[in-house]
Amino acid sequence: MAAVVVKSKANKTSRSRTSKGDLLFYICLLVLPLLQIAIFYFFVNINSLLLPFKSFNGEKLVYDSDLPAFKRVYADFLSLPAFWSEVVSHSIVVYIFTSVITAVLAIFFSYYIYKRRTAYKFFKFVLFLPSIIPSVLLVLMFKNFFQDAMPQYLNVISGGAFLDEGGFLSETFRNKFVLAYNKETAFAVITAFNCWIGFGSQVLVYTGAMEQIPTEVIEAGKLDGANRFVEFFKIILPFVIPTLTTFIITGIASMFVNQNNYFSFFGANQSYGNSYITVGYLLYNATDNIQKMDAFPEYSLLGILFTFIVIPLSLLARKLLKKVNE
Amino acid sequence: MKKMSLKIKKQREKPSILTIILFVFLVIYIVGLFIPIIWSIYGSMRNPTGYGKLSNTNYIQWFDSEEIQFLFSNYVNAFKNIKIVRNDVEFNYISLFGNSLLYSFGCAFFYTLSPLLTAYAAARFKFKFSGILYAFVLIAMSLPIVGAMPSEMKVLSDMGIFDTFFGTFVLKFNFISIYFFILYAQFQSIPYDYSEAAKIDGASNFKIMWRIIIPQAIGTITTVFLLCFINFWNDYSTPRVYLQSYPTIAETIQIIATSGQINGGQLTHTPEKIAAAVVVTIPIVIVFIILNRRLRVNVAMGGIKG
Repeated sequence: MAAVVVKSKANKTSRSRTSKGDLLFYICLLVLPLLQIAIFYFFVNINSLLLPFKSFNGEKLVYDSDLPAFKRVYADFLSLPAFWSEVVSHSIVVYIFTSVITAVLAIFFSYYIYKRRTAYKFFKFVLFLPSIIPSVLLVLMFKNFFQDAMPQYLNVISGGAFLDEGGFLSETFRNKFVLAYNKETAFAVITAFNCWIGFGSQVLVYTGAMEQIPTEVIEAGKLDGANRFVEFFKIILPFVIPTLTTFIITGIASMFVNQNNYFSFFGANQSYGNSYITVGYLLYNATDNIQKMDAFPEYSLLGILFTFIVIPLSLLARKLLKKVNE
Repeated sequence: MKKMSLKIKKQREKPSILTIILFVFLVIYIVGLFIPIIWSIYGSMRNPTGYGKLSNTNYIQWFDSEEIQFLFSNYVNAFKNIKIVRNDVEFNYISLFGNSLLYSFGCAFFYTLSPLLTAYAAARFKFKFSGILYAFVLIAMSLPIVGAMPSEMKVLSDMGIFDTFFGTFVLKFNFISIYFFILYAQFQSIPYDYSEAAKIDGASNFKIMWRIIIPQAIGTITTVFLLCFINFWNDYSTPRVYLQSYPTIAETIQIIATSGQINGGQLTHTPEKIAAAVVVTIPIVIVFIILNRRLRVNVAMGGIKG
């Protein structure tokens, strides 16, 4: 009995030494990443919450009881209908269009690659290419082709309807067919461009998700007489939905952060008098230079306001998607 | 043997209507993708007159050798003349390439290392904090903080590491990213039997991680690193803000594409602009062609069920 007790105590000591060893290693793994998060997530965001209460006195940012940042944000942005109807709505529309269209295309194209159909390796290579080529270069090529060449070719195909006098299209439309440099068409063009190049890396992830589906499930479906449509919608898609959910929720989180290639198209300093920019572009453009420190409290406050808009949207999306998953 | 191979051939699935439709859409997408690229590269090898002819629907003029000269010199001149002056320091193509390489490699390394360490800890050790860590990353990715850039710049500036490579690497040593979930799923999929067997044999935790677990996950880790490298190579928005004294190739392309002002002068002609932008893109395309098999390794990611 005494021998058993001694052995048990020895095992306990050995186990606790092992646990202590594991705990020490665990702490060593996490100490530096958590330190980085403590400074650049928690401290930065707390600092971000305090910035709107400061103003620039010529040398540094100091607390100001007059709250000039609040007054400027209201006067320059929130009180103006154009800000909501143009800038904010553009951010939301771009997100919806690019998320829906790129997700649908990415899932369908991933299914084609998963089924290893004709030339699937080539398509996989090409679908990923827009993620490799810098978006700025793609913008340059896209702009030049669609501005310089496309109108001429479409004019020939349509028998002169686009550019010639007496064509069936209205004069107004002919004059406005200048795509990205035309206020009326720029937004649609840039949104289409984002959809066009936006799903390369998604294909990689969705294909990975489809590869995780057990082959027995697919075979069981075939034995039960499931055709390709049933296989896709009833077997493949449910396995992919959790990955899709992740992309939707992280996409909502970046709705007012991404500048969606506007900078690549137009460079800096486009004001929101131009009816095509987004919140992400506005914030990036305003804070890209440390010398603009006097504007930091204002744009920090604007960012916080949009955080409070996005958080409930994100939670609502998670709730709705949870019901879909069930 | 011949009869057997014929039998096997017959058993291959016939393409369904869905796959035929998808094939057609893929072909349309690829044509839509390649036409502007091929047109632009073809145009970049011409003088301005020749480039203008490409917009003409008289197709004969595209290949009229009397009026159009192929100008590879556009590319040679772009390589020689790409220069950016920043804070009175001149950066030629080689130094821009060096800045890009250091920025991309360093940021990709730290952006991979941080989720690797935390995902390994959360996946392989069943302490309560592992669950808290996973939930924290999920919440932090779902609930964004918009407009934190001014505060970030201020903190880096106060620490004295703003506008330095070290400061940028510290900023990117961040595990709140989708790669945390990818690596977490990968580490979780490796059986714990390996770790237990190694422990019985007296291996330390570090040895288990370095010699047993990481080699089994090296495919996914390498893919994550390469994806990060490509993203950072093409990223101009972060170096433009946080590395203002060290221009990169991506920033150079952005300047060429939007203003055309480079080397103190101006690239007025579109063929020159495209040639310059293609020259600075060549390195990453070569890397992709060499390593595309590694990138095509599927990355699986646990999704959010809500």
